[in-house]
Amino acid sequence: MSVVEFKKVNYGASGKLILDNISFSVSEGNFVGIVGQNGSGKTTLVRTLLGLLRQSAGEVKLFGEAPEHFKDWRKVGYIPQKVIAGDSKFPLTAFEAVSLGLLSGKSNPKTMGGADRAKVSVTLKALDITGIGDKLVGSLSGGQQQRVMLARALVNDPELLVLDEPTAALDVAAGEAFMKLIRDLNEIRKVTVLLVTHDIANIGKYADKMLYIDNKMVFYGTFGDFCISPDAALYFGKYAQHIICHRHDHERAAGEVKNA
Amino acid sequence: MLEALHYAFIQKALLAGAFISVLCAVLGVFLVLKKFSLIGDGLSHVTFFSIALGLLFKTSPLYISVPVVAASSLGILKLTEKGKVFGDTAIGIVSSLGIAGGVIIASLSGGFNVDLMSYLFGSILTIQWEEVALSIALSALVIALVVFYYHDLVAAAFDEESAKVMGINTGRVNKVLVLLTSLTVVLSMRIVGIMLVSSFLIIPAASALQLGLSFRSTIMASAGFGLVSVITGIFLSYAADLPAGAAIVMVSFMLFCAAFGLRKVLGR
Repeated sequence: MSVVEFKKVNYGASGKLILDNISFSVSEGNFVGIVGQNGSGKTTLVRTLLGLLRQSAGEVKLFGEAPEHFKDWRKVGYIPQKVIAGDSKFPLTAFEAVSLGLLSGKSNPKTMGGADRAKVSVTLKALDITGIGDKLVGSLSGGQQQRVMLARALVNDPELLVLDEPTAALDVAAGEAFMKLIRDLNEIRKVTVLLVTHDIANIGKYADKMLYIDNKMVFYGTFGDFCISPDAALYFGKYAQHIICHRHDHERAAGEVKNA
Repeated sequence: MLEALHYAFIQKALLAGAFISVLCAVLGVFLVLKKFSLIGDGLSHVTFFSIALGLLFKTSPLYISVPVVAASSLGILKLTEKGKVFGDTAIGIVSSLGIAGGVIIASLSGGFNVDLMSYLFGSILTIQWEEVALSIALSALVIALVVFYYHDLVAAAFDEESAKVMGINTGRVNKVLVLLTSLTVVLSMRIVGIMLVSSFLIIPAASALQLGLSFRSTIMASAGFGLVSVITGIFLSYAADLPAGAAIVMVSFMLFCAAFGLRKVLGR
């Protein structure tokens, strides 16, 4: 069974088709980078998958169910594009923020017991942010905030992690460190990952598949396939396709040297 | 000063005021963080309309205010959620409609009489035992509902989109929040009055937020600020012969200044 499945999905707003006939599926353990320019429908695609928007045509399945009927949200960890954590006055400590991730399996009145607190502590430790548990999320650096948001998404041991431009507000080094963390989660804990990004050349270093959309599907496959894809050549032009693949090879080699 | 405690009107004022202040201060934290704080102001103006209506028909304003203000709060939420108008615009429309309707009804019933003025500026020192009992009962109900939905309210205030992906029905949580607010505004009108009720919701929460505490501690601090404001304000009103509602708000503002100063000193 596919973890995620889109079949001929359309989504329209203000008379414009933002998602136009999108079809793809993601298998268990895949790491898929969703790439495209501003306004290409990446975030809309993610929001449709998570039931935050309803498609106007086609079929969306999350773990085999339509998102509006999906109940087991413990299986899904999500980091949205914008989190209120930027508000430094919001009175939520990193520990409290991470514990919110445990709410998905509980019914009202929801309580946080000793086992829950232990789970939060273990997750903070796993992400190497134990020391900031009592700090307000808004007072942390961008990199630390993203780790807290990741900890919130991971605390329930999800099977699918959905991240919408998680490194957009980070500097290059913090962004690299964060992406390596996601790759390790995918490789070691076998978490299926869907990651939205602008960076077409860099995503190939981490993701095993790439979905390029421009409101319509442009390409879906491995980065190797992208470099020889006639569809990608037609969309980008052969020269641009070559440059993207060359930059990817260059960044991959640089990453390997740094890791050696 | 302590001899004031022998008077039944002071006892009633302290009891009702303590419960309502804690209630307002707790709800206020969620409203301020969700940037809904002006909803209290808008609903208080609708309360003015419903009180004028109650006085016109010579029934207890409370019975008319609760359904009218609750319906208005849901109306504001619906307008905001559907994205048809901005949140502050929706509050502004409902608020001015409430004032205009209240003024028309007041003029039809012979102008602004003493009763209406007491609701406008509060008259905590004249409340009756049955109103005290009602305040305590409704405060207990609202606090119980806040406890029941506590984690959902926190999650929705922090990041509504992620809260939805956690399976939290944020639409229901928002409805609960505005309904509790409408009930609180109606309850508070006898204490601080319609004109000052929003300050009761906003200032203790804003003071607590200056301290840079965790969420749970912020709620406690806000309740503490509200409680101290009411108790000190009532004694100040007794000692200096000042209007109680206004004295409470002035104490609340002084506590805000202290919290603001403390934040600067602590460098938070």
